[in-house]
Amino acid sequence: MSSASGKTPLILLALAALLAGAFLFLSLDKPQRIAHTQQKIPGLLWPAPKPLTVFELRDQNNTPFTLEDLKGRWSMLFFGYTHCPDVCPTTMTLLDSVVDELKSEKKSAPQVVFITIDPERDTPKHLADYITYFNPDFRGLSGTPEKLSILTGQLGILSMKVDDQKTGKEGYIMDHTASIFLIGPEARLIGVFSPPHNKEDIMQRYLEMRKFIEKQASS
Amino acid sequence: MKKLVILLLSLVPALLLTPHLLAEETVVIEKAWIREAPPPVEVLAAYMVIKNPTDKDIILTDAESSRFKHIMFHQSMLENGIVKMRHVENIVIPAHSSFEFKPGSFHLMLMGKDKILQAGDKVQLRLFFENNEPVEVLAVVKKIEAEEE
Repeated sequence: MSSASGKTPLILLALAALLAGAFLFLSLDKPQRIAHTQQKIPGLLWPAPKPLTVFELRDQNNTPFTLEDLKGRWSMLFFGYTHCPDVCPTTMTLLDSVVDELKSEKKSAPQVVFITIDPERDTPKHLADYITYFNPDFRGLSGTPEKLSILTGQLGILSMKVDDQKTGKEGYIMDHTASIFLIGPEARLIGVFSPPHNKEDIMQRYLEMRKFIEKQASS
Repeated sequence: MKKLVILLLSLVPALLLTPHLLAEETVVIEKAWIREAPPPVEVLAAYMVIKNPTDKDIILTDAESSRFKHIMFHQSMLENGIVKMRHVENIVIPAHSSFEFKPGSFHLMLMGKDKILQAGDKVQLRLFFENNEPVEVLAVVKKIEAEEE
């Protein structure tokens, strides 16, 4: 009995030393670990996120959509066309599920903006049914080729009509950039998610980039 | 009466086996489905797995359906972040092998639908092969979730 009670202070001392060591290790390691992560978020455009400049397009309800609509909130931009049967609907479905899951986890979801690269066929009326199908809260933008190029030019979007006689005049194919662009609340291009897209990966990187930018703003 | 029932029942396994045995000898199409699309979309994509259990390569040359004006084979591909889609003349399914049409890759491009297709609808497709009989397949229209792709 006496020997057991004699050992107790020793054990406590050892435990305290262990805790102190662990605390020291964690407190030293943490800032380094965070700094490391920040630089390692793939697709994050830091330290020089590109500020977007004025543009004017119209959404599926024919409401103007300008640079102001990108301010004060986070947005994900995706460029495509409604006659695209494979990759575009896959991405739209994915963006809907990203927003859905963020909301279900009580996390702030970005506004999702689809921008056509095929204004010839994608009129606002045509876009209305298309957007509503995926998510009525999404915005679907169209405009004249000149007005569209003001935005696509800033983001380096490439698109071209494919010359294929077999698909016919009405059924032409478009090649286009398939990346998803993350715009921050100051209307700056914060990150680019390159295809092929994965829901979990996009959600995680979006949250990491958001956290990082919010931290920069508060410090 | 009882004997008759037993006799009939004993025939059931044989009846079940017969189509299976016949199918072994020729091309088999599985998991045929069409992606449900928003109402204004005129072009849809169909996906499926084509199995070739024979000793010879099989060439898929064409497809048709009474529900669509025209069907083509297309391939989606990514090149430096740009998604491209190209028309493919025909599809070779090597002997004792299979070929998969799947999202983000090869698909059957269905053009000029007769009316809006919704999840649960079934569409009869007819596939044509070089030196083989055409094969009928029933594709189910599905609304796809992000996790499945």
